[in-house]
Amino acid sequence: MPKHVPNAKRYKYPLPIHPLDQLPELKLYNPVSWVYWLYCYTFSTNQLPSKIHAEFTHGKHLTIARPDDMRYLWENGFFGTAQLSRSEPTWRKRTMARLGLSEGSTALEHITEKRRIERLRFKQERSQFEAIKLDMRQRGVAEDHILAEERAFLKSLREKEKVLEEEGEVHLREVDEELFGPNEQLIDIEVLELMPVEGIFLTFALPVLEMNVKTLLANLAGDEPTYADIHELCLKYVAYHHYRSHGWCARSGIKFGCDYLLYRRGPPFQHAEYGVKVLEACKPFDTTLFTGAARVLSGARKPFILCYVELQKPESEVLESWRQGRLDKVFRSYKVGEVSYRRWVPGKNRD
Amino acid sequence: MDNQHIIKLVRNNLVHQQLWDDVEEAKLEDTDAWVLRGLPPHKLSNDDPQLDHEWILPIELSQYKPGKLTLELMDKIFSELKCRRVTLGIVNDDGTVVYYFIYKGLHKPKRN
Repeated sequence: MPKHVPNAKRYKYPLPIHPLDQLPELKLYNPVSWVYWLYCYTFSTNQLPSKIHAEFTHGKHLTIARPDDMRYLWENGFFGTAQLSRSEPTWRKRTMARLGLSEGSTALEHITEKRRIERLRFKQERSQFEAIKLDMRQRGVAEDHILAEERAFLKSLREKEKVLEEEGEVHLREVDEELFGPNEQLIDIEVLELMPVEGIFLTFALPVLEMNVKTLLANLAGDEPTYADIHELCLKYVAYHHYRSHGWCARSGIKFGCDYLLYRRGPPFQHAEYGVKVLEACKPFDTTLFTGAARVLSGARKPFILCYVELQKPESEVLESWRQGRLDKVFRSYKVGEVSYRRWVPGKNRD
Repeated sequence: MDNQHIIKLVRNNLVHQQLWDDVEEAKLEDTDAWVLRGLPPHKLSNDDPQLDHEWILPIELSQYKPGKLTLELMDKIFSELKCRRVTLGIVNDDGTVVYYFIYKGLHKPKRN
């Protein structure tokens, strides 16, 4: 495998099912090429060679364990989150690097961790120096002397930073022993977890997971659900499908206190653009919830989308379709509308 | 609050993603909740006097609401553990675990 694959190539496809883009060239003046083209068109398929195996672990957690499958779902639409990484499955690579089993790694988590430690050390040093500074002021030391001390302090910090960059010794903890199999091989303990809505999307909307709809629904909502049992999941799914089918990459918004984050292409390309909260239409809501979530999102420069999902059929009808496994009928019973919510500051937002 | 089915999930997250040391599981006496105790690789907050063992309460996102996670429950946990803070390990339905501090009583805000 080549060392570096450009993102545009690695993440070429926005979804796990690809269009037929391997067709031969069609030459209008050459009838033989028409026949060949037709032959290829008829016999190519965009089905996956084999569907991806998923199973339920720890109760309702839908997980994928094969490394190739995990990578496929991540590279084709950014589905799922690896349980021991930020999102892309990088645990194996990071652990190999940590235990000195491979060359240095540049996984995103490593860079973030390094910056975090640097910042932490800086803050500790700063507070120590501030105590000294306060002490000098109280003792009546001249201001320009204090300033000179401060300069010397900042310079010493910069030198310490350089030393930190060169550090990196291997440290094997006792608990790391459980990671090795009988042949001293590192066991890959990381699995990719799909949100329930992603699970439905990859079975009902796209034929990707090797799991039938009935099994999936029974695991998510129980064998004999009432409408109340499926209500929340239906609202969330309808919103998820709505954004996915408009070309957005939707991922969980847990870290920003909302339901989904919308990416134009996906996490490796740019930050998420919007945060979405899914709400039931016509149901009154606590407005402090909006201001809280919107405030967190605006701190990260993301507008807040309130996505209202409205049920337009009787609940009993929806439940009956669910029981028959007719998800197309279930989700067709809802309508989506949305409002963008942004905090407005008169002194700042004059443009 | 029954959280036994997710205790391993949070334990693995602490040990193998956050790289905590001597992580142990324990069942509380007064309630049916399980907690974890372990030593983080660095201080969790800059304002902590020193690096020390921390208590973690694993909880599923669907349990993180009034009626499940109650003040009464937190009171019981604090009086049994006799600690300054408990960290919630909230297990989301997308495979991530997010952590939040709960302090007993008032706490001076963290300096940024």
